[in-house]
Amino acid sequence: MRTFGATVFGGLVMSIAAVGCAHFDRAESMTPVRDASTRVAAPVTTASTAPVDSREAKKTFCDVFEQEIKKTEDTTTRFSAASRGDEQHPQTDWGDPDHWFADMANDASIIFGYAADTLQAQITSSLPVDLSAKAKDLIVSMRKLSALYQQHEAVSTLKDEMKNGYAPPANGIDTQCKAS
Amino acid sequence: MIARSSLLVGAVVAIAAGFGLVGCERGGKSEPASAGASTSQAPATLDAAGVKTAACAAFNKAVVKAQTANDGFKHALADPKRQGNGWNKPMSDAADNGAVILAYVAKDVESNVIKPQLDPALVEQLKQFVQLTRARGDLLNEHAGTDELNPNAVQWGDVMNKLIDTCK
Repeated sequence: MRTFGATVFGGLVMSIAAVGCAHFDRAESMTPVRDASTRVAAPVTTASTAPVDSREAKKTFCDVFEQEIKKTEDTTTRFSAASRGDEQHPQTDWGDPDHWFADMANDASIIFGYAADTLQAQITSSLPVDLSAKAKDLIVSMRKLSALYQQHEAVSTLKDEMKNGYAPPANGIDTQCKAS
Repeated sequence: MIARSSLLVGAVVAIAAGFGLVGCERGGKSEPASAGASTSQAPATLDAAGVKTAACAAFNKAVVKAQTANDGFKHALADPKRQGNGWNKPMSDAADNGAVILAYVAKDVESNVIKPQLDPALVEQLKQFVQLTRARGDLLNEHAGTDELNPNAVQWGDVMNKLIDTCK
């Protein structure tokens, strides 16, 4: 079973803490603009589509889940790498215009948002109820992570959401999809 | 990964100029994109002006995301501490993220912006934008060289700016 979150965020807390970042918004042109649709945790709805076989709906959902989760994992890994810096930019700092850290966060925000949209479109009344419930939890967490990345939120907050909001439903879906 | 680092040496200024064209109608601002769901489905009851307004709202949201991804790559490319060193980790990661985002944006515009009720000329421009955005995503995914990225950037920026102007 794939374990989400734990390894990816392993290096984040230390590297951010080293420069004392708790929560930074860049004052100049990088002031985040939060999308109205992410301002509140809107309930995840069920798409109304013609009923299809439950097994078929599950397979379609699982295929999409696999694709989308790879994108969110990859972008999380890239953000994590940026948070550690390198010999050119050893200090992780939201305000360093040459550091790719903030850009990675901005990208992650977009990718988590689009992944949530894509998964939401796959939630139909034909999907097994328990899988649908996990998917809705995952989408809520993805949208929250999207907002947290966009706000350049503290890494400890990101880590908490990844561990407690994102990983449980993602792992649960992964298990259910692999069991089919 | 297709390593074409030699093509990038000494070409930073050229590609930066190419990227500079993208989004210049927006006053050069680099606003991190919003990340929420697209909410641009135009109801059938809207008149032509209403359909265009809804389409433009959805396009403007999508284009900010595309620009954010593009800016991330541009920043990595223009890092003064790395210039001339070919593909490096920040550039590769920005390109890989950019490829994913531009594919999403192309699909977003295709699904949520292009509507049959729109003026055919505008639809044609939007389709061109989708095609160039998708092509740019593919180039980033391949870690293409400036000989391919720059011409795409010029065309992409041109179409994008025309659409931004149309939607003002």
